[in-house]
Amino acid sequence: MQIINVQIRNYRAIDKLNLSFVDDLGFPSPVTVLAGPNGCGKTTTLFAIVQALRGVMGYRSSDVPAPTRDDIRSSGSPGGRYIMETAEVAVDIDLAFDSEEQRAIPELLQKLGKRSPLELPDGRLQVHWRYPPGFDRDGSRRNWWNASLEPGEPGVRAWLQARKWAIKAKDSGIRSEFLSRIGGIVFFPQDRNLADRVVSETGALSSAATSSSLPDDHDDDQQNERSAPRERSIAEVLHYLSDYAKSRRPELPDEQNWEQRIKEIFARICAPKKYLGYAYRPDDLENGVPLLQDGADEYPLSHAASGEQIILEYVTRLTYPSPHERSVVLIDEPEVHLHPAWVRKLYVALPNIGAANQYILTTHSVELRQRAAADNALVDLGMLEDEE
Amino acid sequence: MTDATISKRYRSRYPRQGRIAVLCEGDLAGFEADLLEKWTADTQYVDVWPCGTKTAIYGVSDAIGRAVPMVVIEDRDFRNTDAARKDCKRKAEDRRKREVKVVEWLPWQRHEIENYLIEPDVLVPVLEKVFGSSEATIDSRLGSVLENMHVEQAALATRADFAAMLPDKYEGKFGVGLPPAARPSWDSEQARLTFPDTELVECELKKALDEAAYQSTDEGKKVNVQQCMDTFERYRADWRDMKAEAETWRVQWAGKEVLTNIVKWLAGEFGWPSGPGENRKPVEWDKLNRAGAGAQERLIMQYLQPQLVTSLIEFLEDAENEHAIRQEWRQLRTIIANSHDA
Repeated sequence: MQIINVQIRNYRAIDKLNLSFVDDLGFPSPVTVLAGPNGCGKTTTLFAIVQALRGVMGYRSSDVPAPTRDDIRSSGSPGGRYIMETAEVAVDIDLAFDSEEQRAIPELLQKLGKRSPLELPDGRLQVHWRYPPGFDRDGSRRNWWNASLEPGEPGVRAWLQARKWAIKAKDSGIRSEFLSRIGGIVFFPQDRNLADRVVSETGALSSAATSSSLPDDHDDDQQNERSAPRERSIAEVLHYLSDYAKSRRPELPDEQNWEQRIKEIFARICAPKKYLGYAYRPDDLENGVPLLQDGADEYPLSHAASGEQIILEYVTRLTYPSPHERSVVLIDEPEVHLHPAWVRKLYVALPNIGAANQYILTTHSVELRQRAAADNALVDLGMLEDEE
Repeated sequence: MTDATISKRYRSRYPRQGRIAVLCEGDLAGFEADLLEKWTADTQYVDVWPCGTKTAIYGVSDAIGRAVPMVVIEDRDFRNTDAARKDCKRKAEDRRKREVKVVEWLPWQRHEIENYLIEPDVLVPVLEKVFGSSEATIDSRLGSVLENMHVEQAALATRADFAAMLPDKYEGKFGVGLPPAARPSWDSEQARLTFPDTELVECELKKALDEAAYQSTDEGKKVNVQQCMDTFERYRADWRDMKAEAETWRVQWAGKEVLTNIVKWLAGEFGWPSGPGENRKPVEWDKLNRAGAGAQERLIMQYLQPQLVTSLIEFLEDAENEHAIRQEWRQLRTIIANSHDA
């Protein structure tokens, strides 16, 4: 799945914005970098995409809070007096499914015994999200996470929910067959609480070592979002993936050895540092730690530099609970915590982390901005001097 | 003040964050900067300084080379490899005498950066995708360009030889390009690139050389133009009927001209959108004025650049590929990777 175009109106910092994610010849851009001064709407654009898609795709993220009336952009009066206008947030997204997804999704639905999805013209559909939400026929207010789709006939929603159904499938064969063929969405926020998100090295998954497949981490009940179980820390996920790999050796196929994939991508960005895997001390086989290496030194993830933790978070979350290919990956200011050298390496490595993913990044980094410009991947939302 | 203190002082004034500077020709948005940054991304943090010209490289090396170790790579142009290496060695030694930290000063082993991008395994897949044409069609157009470019390339090589014979103070003032009349042009009716007659190119070349020789006469000595025109004949004879399989055009010819000609042909034949979201329309190069044609050419090249860069990087990283250019680029990467210890 790829985003072709986004239109945003009256949302937070944005009055009106139209962004295209295809190049001059109409090919989707694999990486787009949004740059510009504070307040130009970079983070707001990513939030808008998540708000519009989270409900229809069953994507749960506590990093983008539920909308409130404060998110509706209000303009000031000519005299400077603040006026509360009754505006509406509108986010309209054009999505495209590539030929592989157009084959895979009907196949998946058939295997799951569901109705075939409506055929999409050119593999495209539109998502329209409004806030405050409209009313149903019975006069009740719709849920805020609901979006309408175009074409609007029943059977279109299946295109967006297919990945979630593949993840929830009881048959592990279905997961391994379809998850690499159907894309989803992932969001990495700028405001990272590393201690909770990444480092927590306790609370191992109880069924990890014996589980026959990756656990279902998705919940389509958005109403329960606030009370949903907390996200697993990266350390916990690494523990699980390590045990998963160990329990299946030596037969584990390469494409399912996610721990190895994480090691390889981490090394590519952070070399000469390495992620060694989840390790146990000889005197304590119960409590292990994710272990990293720099030359002769080995150290647990909790001692790692924040940049190392962030890279490990990116790579791990793009691998678990299911490897992302053909997904929309949103990263807000990846340069936070990263040396410019690693920003460059991360940028170069992105197309290799999930072959057909679409990456949309925001940045204040000169390094990233220059690299993106060289690749025709830069969208400039305004220069500082434009504000004067 | 000790040497170490002076060195630290220079280092602290260095305006970028890399551990090694790589100086090259080309501009900020050129192929070289882009390629060198991507090719070395896995090794260490490299600052690429595109300096525009060889003369500018020489100047910039003096300006920043006491602050950071430096690898310099310059175009080989129409020089042979030995002559180019000798020249680079001389420049490096000269700079080292002035405390500039030159790790290596190298020429590309091909004419210029575009010569790596016109390698058919790199170029053809990109053109196929971008112009929506078949491999056979692109091979055929490339074949036609190569068969007909020998006169233009011979003239360019002769101009370069002539410039090298001029006294130093005149060399830089003598341009290397050909006048528009001596260059290929687009024929919209036939939808093909047409190449000027040999006589016309020869005449334009001789006129330019005679004029430059007259203006640059130094202490009564004048460059022998006829000798240069004889060289032109030799180049022309050697490069006639060039075939796509040959190594000569990939290594010795001005690659930028080859790339420009094939791209112009394909854009004229298969079209280019006039703006984002627009349909392709054949580019009528012959109906555009010089500025308009230049702008259109830059627009297409800007689109092609990242794709050609990615294609070359993939070609270089292909472990099965033992091509000479792969060896050259790997060697360059090793030099850069080890340079911070120098």
